[in-house]
Amino acid sequence: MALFKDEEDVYAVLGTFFRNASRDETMGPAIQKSGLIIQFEYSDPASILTIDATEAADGAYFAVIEGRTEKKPDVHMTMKADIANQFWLGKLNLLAALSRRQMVAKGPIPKIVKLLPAIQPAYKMYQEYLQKIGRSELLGY
Amino acid sequence: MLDFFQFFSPTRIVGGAPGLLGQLGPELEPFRRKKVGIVMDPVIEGLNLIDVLQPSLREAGMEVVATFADVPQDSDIPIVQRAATEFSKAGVEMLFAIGGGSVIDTAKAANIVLTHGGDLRDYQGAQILTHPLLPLVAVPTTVGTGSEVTMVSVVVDREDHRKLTFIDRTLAPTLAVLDPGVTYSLPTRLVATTAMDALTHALEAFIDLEHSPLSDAWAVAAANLIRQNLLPALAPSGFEEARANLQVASAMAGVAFNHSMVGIVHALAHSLGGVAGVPHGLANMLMLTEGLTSNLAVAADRIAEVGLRSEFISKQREHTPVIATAQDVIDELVRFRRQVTETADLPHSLRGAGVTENQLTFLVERASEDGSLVYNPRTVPPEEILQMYKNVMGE
Ligand SMILES: [Fe+2]
Repeated sequence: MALFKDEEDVYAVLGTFFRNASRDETMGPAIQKSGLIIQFEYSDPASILTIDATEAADGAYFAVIEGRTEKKPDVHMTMKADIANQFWLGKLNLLAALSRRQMVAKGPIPKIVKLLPAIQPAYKMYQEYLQKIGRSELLGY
Repeated sequence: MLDFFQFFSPTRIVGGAPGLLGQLGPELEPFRRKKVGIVMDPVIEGLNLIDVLQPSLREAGMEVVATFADVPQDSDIPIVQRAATEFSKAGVEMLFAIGGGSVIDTAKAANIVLTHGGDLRDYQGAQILTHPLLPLVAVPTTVGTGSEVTMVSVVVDREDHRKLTFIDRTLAPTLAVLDPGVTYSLPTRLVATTAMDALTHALEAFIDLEHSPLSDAWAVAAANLIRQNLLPALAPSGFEEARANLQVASAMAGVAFNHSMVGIVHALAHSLGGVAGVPHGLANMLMLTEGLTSNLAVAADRIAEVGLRSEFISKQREHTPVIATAQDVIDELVRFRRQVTETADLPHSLRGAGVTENQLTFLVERASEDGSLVYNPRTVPPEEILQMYKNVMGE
């Protein structure tokens, strides 16, 4: 059974989390500085989240777009939504996931690599966030 | 507890006596009558290795329909696109890469464009290829690349001095031919630097995050062979067997790093290549012990273990923390490198390799975004990268 009920559920949980992160002082600036458009295409349930660091507005360091967009991403990552949840919990071995094709990364990987140290605080933040929004069932995976 | 690991080495490796290149009929039989495109560099072209290969091709009814011999020290996007266009026009059905890492990587990247079309840049990434590739036979002529057995291709984007990485299981060559004869005419300096590249592959593969008992075994065997054979391979004569052993070690190190990849030393070296044009093997050689030292705090046990198992040192220090043994390994590698540097008359410092002070900022920037860093046991901050370069800058 997939962890997220439907597309809307992915946006409600991960979309909102990304938007919170877009205002975060510790992570926002580094992501903005990358100037990247990063697209996450999920399956089970099918859904798309895009982070656009070329566009910042309303006190956010980058824009978060739910669903299809005309924007051409620099980096495109494909995975099951469950894998995304695991990643943001900090429980996924990223390298093993890439070599097992649980996660497929298309584009200049080094640019993403450069962001990894910057997003370290996100893992703890995601765990706390899930507690706060009453979705602690997502923590166990 | 072990983390998840896997082992996958799809390339058929053949080796043997010098002249093997001319006796590949049986290995080429599955590709009978295919039209061949050969990738080389100008130096290799001058060695007439195609003539040596010819009897093998004849036996399998194969014909060379295109030869591309313009590959530079670090291959770039226009070179790959041009090779692909020429091969496509000639109706090439299978590829041969005869040369060092740059040549083999060019053939791999050209293979992507030939089978997937369009712009090479669109295929950067990991495990994203969707169509089958053409068969590729890799004949390494240096003793360091390992590319003859790996699923990785690295190509330079000259516009912004970056290295583009392509990783896909299908990129691994179909057949790797280890003919010791092709190493005999290799200049001593090139033997030294490429073997030190292979040693770096072995050591980094052992120390990196994704190592497993299987990649460890290949890394240890490679490091041990290089330790025993590198200096004899630099002798003015009687080097044949030692060079053959280095060729095998290089492929073994390739199998190891194909699984656990490389780390900080390669990040530093890739940047030196892209920004300052320092040859890859020399760059690794110069930065090797700096990189290991920076990993001492988190990977002393691994550094000590690889040093002991590959017999760079003979015994573990008793009643002292493992970091002392790891330091012994690094000291021994410094000594080993000094001998190689002196025997092959190589530069001792970055300055000697043509690096200038005003390149340091750019070097640090490119190194700190290198893909190899993901696999390194710790994140290395830019200030530390700068210090590592400064330590090796020299007078
Ligand atoms: Fe290398």
